[in-house]
Amino acid sequence: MPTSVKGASNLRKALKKFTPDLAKETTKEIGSFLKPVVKNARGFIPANDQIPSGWLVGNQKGKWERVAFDSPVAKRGIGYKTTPSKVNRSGFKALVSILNKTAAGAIYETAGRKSGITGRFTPRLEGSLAGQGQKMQGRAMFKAYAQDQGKAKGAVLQAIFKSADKFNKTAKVK
Amino acid sequence: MADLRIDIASEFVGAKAFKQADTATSALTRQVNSLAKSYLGLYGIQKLARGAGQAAKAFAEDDKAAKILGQTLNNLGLGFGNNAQIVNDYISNLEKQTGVLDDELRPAMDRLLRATGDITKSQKLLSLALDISAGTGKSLTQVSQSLQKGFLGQTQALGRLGVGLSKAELTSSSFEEIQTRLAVLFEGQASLAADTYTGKMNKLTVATNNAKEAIGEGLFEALSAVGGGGEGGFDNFTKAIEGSSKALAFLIKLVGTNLGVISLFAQGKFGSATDILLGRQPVDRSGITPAIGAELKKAAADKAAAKRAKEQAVLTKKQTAAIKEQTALQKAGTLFDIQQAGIIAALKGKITDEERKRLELQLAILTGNTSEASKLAGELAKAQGLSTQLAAYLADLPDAKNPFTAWKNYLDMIEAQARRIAGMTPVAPTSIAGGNTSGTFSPVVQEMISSSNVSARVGAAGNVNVYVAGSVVSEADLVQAVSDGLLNRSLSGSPSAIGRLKGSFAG
Repeated sequence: MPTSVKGASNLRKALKKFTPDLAKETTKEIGSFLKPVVKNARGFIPANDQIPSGWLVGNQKGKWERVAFDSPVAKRGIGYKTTPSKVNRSGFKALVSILNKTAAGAIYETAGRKSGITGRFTPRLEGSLAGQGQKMQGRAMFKAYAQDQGKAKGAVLQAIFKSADKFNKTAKVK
Repeated sequence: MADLRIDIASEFVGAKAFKQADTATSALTRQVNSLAKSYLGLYGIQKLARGAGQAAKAFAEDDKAAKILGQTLNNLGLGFGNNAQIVNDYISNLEKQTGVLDDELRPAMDRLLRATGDITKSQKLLSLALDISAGTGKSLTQVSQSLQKGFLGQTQALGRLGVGLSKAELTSSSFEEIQTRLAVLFEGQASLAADTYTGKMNKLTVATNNAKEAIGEGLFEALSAVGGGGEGGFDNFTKAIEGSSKALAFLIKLVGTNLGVISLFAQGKFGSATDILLGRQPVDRSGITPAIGAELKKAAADKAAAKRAKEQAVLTKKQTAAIKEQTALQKAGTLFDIQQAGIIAALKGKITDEERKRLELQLAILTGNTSEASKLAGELAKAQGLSTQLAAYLADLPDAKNPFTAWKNYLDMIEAQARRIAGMTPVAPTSIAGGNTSGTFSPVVQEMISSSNVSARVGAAGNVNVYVAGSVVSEADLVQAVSDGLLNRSLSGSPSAIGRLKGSFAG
C-alpha cells in the first residue's frame, strides 16, 4: 500500500523549476535508497540453467516467444522509477515505484501466488514466494521489498519531506 | 499485462471518472427535467384532447338519443305542447334517482312509447322495468323489451326474465294483471338499489357522464361560436377547417416546388426550373437527339439483356451444381443398394472383359451415369460386333478333313483277314513228329522209347498215352512207392527233412 503524499507532484514541479539542483539531489537520494532493493530483487532472479528448459528463450516459438525466459533480460527488467505515473482509476498518481517490467520476470515473480504451487510448471520454479497479502507476494521484487521491511520506503518519504523543507526554506528566504 | 510495481509514494489527484460522472449526471438531470416538462405538457395536451373528444362524443350520443325520442313522440302524435320536455325531465330525474344512465333510459322509454302510445303508461312501465331490472339483475334494455312484448301480447318474454310468474299465469292473465302482480313483486327495488353503495357509485357515474355531456355541449357551442355562432356556426367552422387544410396543403406544395426550383437552379437547369414554376410539363433539355436517344435506349436494352443472360448463366450454373450435388447424394445412397452391391461384388471377381463391360453398363444405368452408360454401351456393342464377325468367319470356314477317313479301308482289310482266318479248317498231324521238321525226338524221349519203359501209343484222336510199368496200380501204391523212395534216400545219407513231431524223416 503506497503512502499518499499530498502536494508531491507540485513539489516536484516546483523543485524542477526553481531549484533544479535540489530536484536532482532528491532524485539521486531516492535512487540510492531504492537501488539496494532492486539489486537484491535482481539477485532472486534465477540463472537460465535453473529454469525449466522449455521456458527458455530459443525453446519457445510463436506467441509464447514473447514470454520466454532469459535471465539477464529478466534481471534488467527490475528497476525503479521516480517520475510520476498516469492517474489510475482510483485517482492516485504514483510518484516513486519499483518495477518488474518484463513478462517473463512477472511470470517468475507471481506464478502460484493465486492458485498455489501446483501443476507442472510452478513447482519447478526456483525460489519461494514472500510478502504480505496476495497482491504484495512474489519471488524477486516483492521478496526483496518484504525483506527490506519498509526501510527504503521510509527513507524515500523522508527524502521527499526533507527536500520539501529545504525548498520551503529557500522560498521563504527569497 | 500491466507492469508489476510497488508504489512507494503516491498522490491522490482525483479521478477523472469522478468528474466525468458528475458532468454526465448533471447533464442527465437537465435532460430528465426537460423531458419531464415536455412529457407533462404533451401528456396534459393529450389528456385534454382525449377528454374533449370523449365529452364531445358523450354529448353527441345523448343529443342523438334525445332527438330520436322527440321524433318518436312526434311520430306517435304526442309531440305537442311541452311533452318532449316533460319526458326528458322525467328521464333526467329518473337518472338522478336510480343511477341508471339516460343512455339506457331513453331507448327504453322510446321502446315503451312505441308499444303503448301513451306517455303516462310508458312512464309507469319504465318505473316497473327499473324495479324488475334492479330485482332480477337483468339489464334495463332486456326488461323493457320484455315488457314491450308483454304489452303487445307476447308474455313468454316476461317468463324468461324469471320474475316468479308461471306459464299458466302468464297465458291466462291479462297484461294489466301481470303488471299489477309484477308491481307487487318488485316494489321499491329500484329506489332500494339506488340507496346502496353501488347505486351511489352509479349516481356518481351519472353525474360524471352528465358533466361530460355538458362539457361536450360547451365545446360544440364554442366551435359554433368560432364559426360565427347561431345555427350555421358549426357548419361554418367545419368549412373553415376544410379551407385551412387546403391552404396548408397548398403551402406544403409551394414549399416543395420552391425547393425543387432552387435545386434545379443550383444545378444550372434553368429551363426545367422555369417549367416547374410555370406549371408546364418538364421538357428534356439534355440535348440528346431522338436518334441518339434511341441508340442509348438500345444500348441500355442490350446491357439489360446481357445482364439477364449473365444472371441466367449463373442460375444455370447453380442448377447444374445442385444436380451434381443431388447425383453425389444418390451415389452416396447407393452404398446400401443391394443390386449395386451385387454388381460391384461381381466386378471384383474373375470375369471376362465383355462380362465386365456388361456389369459396368448395368452399374452405370443403375447409378444414372448417362455418359458412362452410353460409352459402355458403345463398347459392348462393339465387342458384340466382333463376336458376330468371329462367328461368321467360323461359319465360312471349310469342313476340316476327317482324320479317320483312311481307317475305314484299314478296318475293312482287318475284317477280311479275320473272316478268312475264321473260315480256315485245322489239319490233324499224321505222326507224333508231325510238326518237327527234323523228324527226330529229343534224346530223353528217344531213351524212353528205346528202354521200353514207356509204351507210346497214339489214340485215334492223336492223344499220346504213357504207361509206367511196375507194381503201382493204385493211388495207394503210388503213395507207398514215393514214401519208400524218400525213406531210402534219407537213410542213404541224402539230405532230408526230419518230422520232429512224428519222429520220422520227411523228404
